[in-house]
Amino acid sequence: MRNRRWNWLVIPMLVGFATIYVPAIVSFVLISFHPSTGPGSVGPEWTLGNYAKVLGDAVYQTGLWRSVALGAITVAGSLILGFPLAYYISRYSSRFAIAVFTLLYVSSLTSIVIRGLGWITLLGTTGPINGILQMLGWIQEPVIFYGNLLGLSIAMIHYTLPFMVLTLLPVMHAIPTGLEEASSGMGAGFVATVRRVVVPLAMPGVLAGSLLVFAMTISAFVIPRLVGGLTLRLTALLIDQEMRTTYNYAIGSTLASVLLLLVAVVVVMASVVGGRSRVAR
Amino acid sequence: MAIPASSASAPTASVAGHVPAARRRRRLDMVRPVLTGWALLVAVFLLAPLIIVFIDSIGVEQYVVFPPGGWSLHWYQVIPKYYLDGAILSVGLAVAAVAAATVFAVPAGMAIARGSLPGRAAIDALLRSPVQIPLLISGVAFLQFYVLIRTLTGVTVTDSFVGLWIAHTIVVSPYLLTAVVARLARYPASLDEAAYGLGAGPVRTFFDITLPIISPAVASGLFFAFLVSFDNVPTTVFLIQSGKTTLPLAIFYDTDQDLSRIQYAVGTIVTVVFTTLILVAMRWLRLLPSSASARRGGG
Repeated sequence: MRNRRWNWLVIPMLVGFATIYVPAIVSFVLISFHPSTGPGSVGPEWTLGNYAKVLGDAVYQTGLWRSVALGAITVAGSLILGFPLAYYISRYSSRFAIAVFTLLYVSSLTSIVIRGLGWITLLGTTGPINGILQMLGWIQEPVIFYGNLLGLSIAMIHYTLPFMVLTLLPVMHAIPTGLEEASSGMGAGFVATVRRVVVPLAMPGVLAGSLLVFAMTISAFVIPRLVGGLTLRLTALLIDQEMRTTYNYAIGSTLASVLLLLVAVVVVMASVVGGRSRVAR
Repeated sequence: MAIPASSASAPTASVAGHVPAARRRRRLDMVRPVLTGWALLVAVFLLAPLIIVFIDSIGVEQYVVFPPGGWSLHWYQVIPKYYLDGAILSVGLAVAAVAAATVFAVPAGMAIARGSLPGRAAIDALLRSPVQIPLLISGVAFLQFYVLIRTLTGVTVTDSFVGLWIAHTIVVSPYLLTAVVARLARYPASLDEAAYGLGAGPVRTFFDITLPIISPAVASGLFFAFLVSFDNVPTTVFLIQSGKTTLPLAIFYDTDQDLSRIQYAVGTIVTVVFTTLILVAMRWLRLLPSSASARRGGG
């Protein structure tokens, strides 16, 4: 029962968004079409030169590809860790399963800067990870985790894992256990049941979680800055550098527009996937 | 919420004949410990950075070496005052942003859930969109907008509390909107309509009928909006160029320039306080964010 009399209540927020939020988004996109005329200023003429530079220059290209690669590695990692975990939480109601579920929430809400601090030590050359690997005799020399995608992706998987699992969980819960019982009752092993029953039915959740984690990773800033470092030249770090160090607003805004477009495409894909899975149910 | 393990080992009689029951049970008995072990591994992975922050905070050396050569609580005693100032600014900013977001987003949620807005889907998508836009991009957007305002009007909004307040309010408002719309979708509009029909005005209907019903959802939205605002570095970093910084930004800058055990001590205090708040909220107030997509925070 919808009624017109409630409509006016949307006006304050809508006006606020129309006068501040929309102009803020529009302003940096507009700036990306103007040439830089020195630190903190752009010229009045219109140009596509910033885009030509950002898409043509090796530094920016590398940054973009590294961001995409980091996104792909992080999606794979959080899926490998998260899929069995989501299955476990959805199928068992032990105290431990509930504790892990709680831990996921607590972890996702813990300060991101503080988690970054933790990973700096964990991934250090004398840190606990290298210590354990050396104790086991798997490595002789310490592994360098700082300033490369290896260490950064471990920290990013930690950051994104709760979001992956919490996206997978409702889909896992919706798979009737009767299907798994039927499958194993007819002689399929656990692995075959998972591969032929659980995975196909969980696919909408896998896709939605993967797209969410990918969008989060390519636009992440704090962990890449603290754990990856500037030498990685990820797009998010280049944006920060252009905006706050060299004050090249034109290039910074162009990089931000490219990143926003990329995230928007992923978000739209996710909503299409989400819409389709709702229809299927 | 979860299905007891025993039901998984009770196949229907019609298909049970194919595999000997003993073998089937043994196989299922294997699955559970393996999955539990996996979950334990992930739990250790999730906890590791938090535990290590505590261990680092009680080491004896000024520079962060692992493992520490001795133990000391010294770093908790020499936390510089600007961290306390930062904490006060962060709490003040988060409270102001969440309060403003509530004033705007709760009525808007009413209109979207109950009204007959033309272009409702588009308005809904617009008002929810800040949560989809990366915090870093929001920072760039507000910085460029504020610079534009300064160029056009001479008014400086950058480096001011008002500038931060506006940006944080917009960034966290979808948390409240989403919570209210989701809650209202699950209770009949006829209650509001009845109150209205009996002569209560829209304001009285809202405060007497609607608000008590949506308040758990609003409380949950408030809580998560507060956490997101408090911890926001990627937006704030563009809007504070000099002067007082928020707490997470102070840790962020010091970590970048002069990593010491002091940041780990501050980090431990913040983690203990926030974990306590989160557990209290989850266990006793039963607050849970309404959907996975609304929880995109961090940075």
